[in-house]
Amino acid sequence: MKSIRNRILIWVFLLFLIIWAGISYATFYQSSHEVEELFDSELAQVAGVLTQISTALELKHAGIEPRLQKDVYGHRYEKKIAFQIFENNKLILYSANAPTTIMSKENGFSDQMINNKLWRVFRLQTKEHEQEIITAERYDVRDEIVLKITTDSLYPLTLMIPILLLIIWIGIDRGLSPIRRLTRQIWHRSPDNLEPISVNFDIPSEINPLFTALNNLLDKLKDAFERERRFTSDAAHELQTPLASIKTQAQVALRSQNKNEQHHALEKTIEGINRATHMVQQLLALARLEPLATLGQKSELDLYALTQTLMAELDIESHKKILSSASMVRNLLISKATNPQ
Amino acid sequence: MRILLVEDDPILGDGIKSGLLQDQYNVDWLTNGGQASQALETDSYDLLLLDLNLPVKSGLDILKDIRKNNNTLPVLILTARDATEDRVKGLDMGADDYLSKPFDLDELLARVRALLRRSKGRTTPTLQHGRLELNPVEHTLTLSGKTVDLPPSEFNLLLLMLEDRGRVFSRGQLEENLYGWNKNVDSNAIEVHVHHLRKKLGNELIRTIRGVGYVIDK
Repeated sequence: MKSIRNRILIWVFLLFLIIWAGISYATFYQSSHEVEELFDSELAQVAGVLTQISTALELKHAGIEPRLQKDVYGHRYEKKIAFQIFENNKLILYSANAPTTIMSKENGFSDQMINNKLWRVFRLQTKEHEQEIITAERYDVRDEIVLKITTDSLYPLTLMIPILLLIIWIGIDRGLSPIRRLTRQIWHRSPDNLEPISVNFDIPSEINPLFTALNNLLDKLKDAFERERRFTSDAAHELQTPLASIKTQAQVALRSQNKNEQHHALEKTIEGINRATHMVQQLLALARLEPLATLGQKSELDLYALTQTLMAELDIESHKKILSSASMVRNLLISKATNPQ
Repeated sequence: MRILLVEDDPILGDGIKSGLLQDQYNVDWLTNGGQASQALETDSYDLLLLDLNLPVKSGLDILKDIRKNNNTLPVLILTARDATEDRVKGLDMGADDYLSKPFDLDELLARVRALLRRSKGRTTPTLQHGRLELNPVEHTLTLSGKTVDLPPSEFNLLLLMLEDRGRVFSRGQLEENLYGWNKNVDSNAIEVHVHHLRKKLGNELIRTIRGVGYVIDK
């Protein structure tokens, strides 16, 4: 069975997923771009600082191993930054994670493939000391940080999704409660109660047409049942007299000791049975004319012609007595007028 | 006993009339309300059997007219309407009893007897007069315990006069009561019946009042 609630939930969930994906992508793209710039500027800054330091120290060590110790690093991201300082094309100082060959031959920023790893490299050249300062950073480290930043910023949004869905679920549940109450009310009705449904709460506009249609249907059903009941009652009423006549004549025959009288009473009994049979056939014909299938459809109708046809069909001319019940003729005409076939 | 039956259904009317005739009632049968009203004005009856759905004039209207004229005629209504309210309405308008169709002929006849009995101020089913005991239900008559056979017309004459002891009946009244208007009756039929009754039951039972009619003294 299709559930409105589930359908709404699925759609809302899909919508959230799309929005979430969009936001995630935008956040990731934005953050990575910002972080790249931040890191780039850091590379440049570090290069600048190194230039100052190397100038001040006037490093001119030749032949010694100018590598820096690993344990001087303080920050967990910092160790990934590698640097090289060349003087007159000679490597005079470099970090432990840097290679001994020059990482970039072009000034400024560039991407370099070194030992199967992609690096972001910045090269700075001083004129007076003929020094080359190179700072570099591995892309995978950068990406890791970018990813970390993005996921951190997406955490709250991701956590919000189940909470939002829960709130929506409750909201829909609340919204659907009139339907449940209406259902309960209809469920507890007795089958013979065809009165319109009345509720002591506001019917939401979405289900109001359904509610109205239901009450309309009940109304029509009530009319139909009423007509049916009246017809049955009229039919029973019309049959009372023929039955009484049959019974009386039969009892007269039973009580009589006179052959002629008995014969007369029996003939009258049979006459009465024939008449009752005919009447039952007429009633059945009437019942077939009583329409239930075409409830509520109205169209113009030539009552006079219809009455004539009916009278011919039902042989009323020769059995005026049988259809003398005004209510039956009235019912018949009314039912024909309101429900033409 | 003269009964007016008003029933517009030909087969039912015929059946009820036959049933009443079997019990030796004198029955006039009419099929429309207008005729019934007229008959009630001109003739006297002991009981009215009335259908409610009648052409020309409805049973209830006839009933209303009867009671308006302070007529105490017992009325038994026969109708196909069997809703309680209809019954209540009929009885409230002055009917004495009510039978819904289809009914049992025996029940109808029993109710007719009960109504006639009550209208004559009697509660027991038999009539006693001196050594005579007359049973209208079984149509039997005993004189000092011995059964006396009477033809229906004599029995009815005796029953009529016993029901109204002390009342003087004219010959015309007796004829009308016994035969209604449908039959050709010998002009001296009543005298013949009285003669036969006196022979069988004794001369002192029915007294002749010259120039007026006959009476059974209380």
